[in-house]
This record gives sequence, structure tokens and C-alpha cells, in this order.
Amino acid sequence: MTPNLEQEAIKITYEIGRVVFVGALAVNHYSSYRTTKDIDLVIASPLDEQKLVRLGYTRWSESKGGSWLSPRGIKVDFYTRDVGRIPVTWILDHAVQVKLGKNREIRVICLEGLVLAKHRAGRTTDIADLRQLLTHRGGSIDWNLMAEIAEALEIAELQKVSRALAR
Amino acid sequence: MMLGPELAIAQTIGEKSVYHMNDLSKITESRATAYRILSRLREAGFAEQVREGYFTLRSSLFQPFYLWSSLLPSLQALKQARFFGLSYNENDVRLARQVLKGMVTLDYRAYEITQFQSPHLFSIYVDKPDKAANMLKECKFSEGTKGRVVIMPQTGEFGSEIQRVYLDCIAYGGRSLLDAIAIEILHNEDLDHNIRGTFKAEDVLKVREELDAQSRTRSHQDNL
Repeated sequence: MTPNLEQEAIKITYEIGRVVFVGALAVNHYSSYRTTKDIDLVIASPLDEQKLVRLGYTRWSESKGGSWLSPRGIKVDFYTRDVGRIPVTWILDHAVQVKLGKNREIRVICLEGLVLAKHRAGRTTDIADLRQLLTHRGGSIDWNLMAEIAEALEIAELQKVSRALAR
Repeated sequence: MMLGPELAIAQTIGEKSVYHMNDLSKITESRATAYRILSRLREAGFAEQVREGYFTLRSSLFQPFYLWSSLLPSLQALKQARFFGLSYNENDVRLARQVLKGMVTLDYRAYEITQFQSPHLFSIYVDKPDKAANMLKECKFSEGTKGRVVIMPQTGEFGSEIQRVYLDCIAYGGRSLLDAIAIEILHNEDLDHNIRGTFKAEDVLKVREELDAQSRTRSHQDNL
């Protein structure tokens, strides 16, 4: 993972509590790759804007809804309902713990959720991320777990892509 | 090499992570035409076969046809790229920087001039690829497919470095498209106004927002 983003993720987890990181931080957990300097996360409860303000977060004025600047000036996008039609509750229940140094840990979306979210998003950068994930981690996907959130056609497509890209 | 307009039909295939020959056959008159087009796309550097019957396409294929000839030197260089690794981490890049002489492009150069997206591959144009490869091997680098050090032969124009990095980023496609957008925003005056990529509005918006956030981060740090 990118060191600065890791540190930011640790601080956000300490400040906000039960959060799961879903963007570049998660992609980099599964396969070292390129990242921009923003953070995407899901949270368990509705966004408590007053709490965020008390913690020193400021609303990102150019965007609507869940985009904020952290007290360290990092852009943070909060997801409170779903990510690529995957319910936040499912993402929280199946999150993976990642240890970062002594007694520090953060939680990231499971590989199956991340792969499906990238597949559904389908933008140029998501396709690049998906290729990276399936090339390096396609063999680790739990397709039974994927079946809880994906449609049969999506699973068939992803299995085909995974087989084609596997090294 | 020439890129005929008949190849532009491939743009109607749409962006996906992997394609099967059947995907291409559906948009061509026949399976034979599909194979002929794929062969030409592979020759140009737009397509790469990954398994029997399956192939990937660089997102640069979906740039306007008039830009293809400007992208061709970059695509040809990428096609001949050779990958090297030793520790398979950032240390490889530090060592390669000491060993190799040439023009750095793509991830690392884009990061140096935009500070936008963290780099992964260290790509460098060298005069003599075989000589550069031997120099890396003397430092115990191995050649393969997973290394982070990439040497490429010098192909085409190198008159303006930023213009070349910009075109390389567009040609490489994927996440490098965001680098190209960042270069266009931050170094607009250094680019040829007649040779510009076409980008999706949502990608341009994302880059603008994040560059803005970064400038706020920097001013936040300056104020501490």
C-alpha cells in the first residue's frame, strides 16, 4: 500500500470507527498498483456530519453528498448505502482486516466485493484495476462468496476473464 | 506502418477487460475479417493475445482515429518493451535509475511533472535496448513479465519531452489516461494544440478534483 494513504487510513479508522476502505487502498492491498491521493470508504451508520465537523473534516464543496476533506487535507468519499449495488452491510460483514505495523489495523473490502464493484463500474480506470486484480489474484476468488452478491451472468463473465488473464 | 480506417470498426466493440474472438466477429463481416483486423491491431500495438481465442485491447484504441498515427510510435515502443526485476519493489527503480541512461516516461515521469498518481512501472527509453538489458543483467536483474523496470527502444519523435510523455500515457491507456489528463491541465502550454487526446468528462472531473485537493493538501501542510 502507499505509505501516506496507509497512515491516513489508520487515522480515519481511529477517528471514525467502523469503516471499510474500498478504493485504491483496497486494490493496493491485493496487488501493488497505482493510486491517486483520495480515499473511498464505507461506514456502518448514516453519515454524522456534525461529528465529522467536530473532528476537523470539511465538506468538499465541489461535490455533492459524501465527499469531504480530512483534517490532513486528503479527499475522502463516504459511501453509506452501497458500492456498485453491493450493500454496505454486506461489505462491512465480509471486510478483511489488514495489519499495518504494531497494533495498527484497517479493514478493506473483500476481494470478491472489490472485483465485482470494479466490473460493474466499467470505466477505463476500473477496467485497468480489474485486469490487475484478476491477473494477480484471480485464482484466490471465492466464487461461492461472489454468488451472494453477483448475478449468474456476471459470475460467468468474471470467471471467463479470470481464466483468460491468470498467469 | 500504416493504420487504415478499416481498423476503426474495432472501436465499436466497446471497452471490456478481456475479449473473445466472437466479440470481434460480431462487428465484422466475417470471422476471417475479424482475424485479419486483430492481427493488424496486434501489429500496431493496440491488441495483445492473452490466451487462445482471448485478447485485451488498450484503451487508446478508443481515441479518435485521427490521433492513431501520433500514438503509433508510443504503441510500437510499448510493444517492444522488456521487463526486468530484481527485488520486485521500489529498490529496483532506484538501482535502475543509477544504471540506465535515457528518457524516463509514463508512470515515473508523469508523477514527477504532475504529482498526481503514484507510479508503479519505471519505463525508460534507451538508445540500445540490448546493451541496457545486459547492464541490468550484470546487476542481477532477471528479464520476465513481472518486473517493474521497463526498457523501451526509442521510436518516433522526441522533440518535446512533455508531448512525448503525454502521448505515451494516452497510448498506454488505462490508469495512464488520468496522467495524460493531469499533464494537459498542468502543462497545457507545452503541448501541441493540434494533437490532443479525447477524454471522458467524468475522468477529467476526477483529475481536476484531485489536483485541487492536492493543492489544498500542500497549502494545509505549508500552514502547519
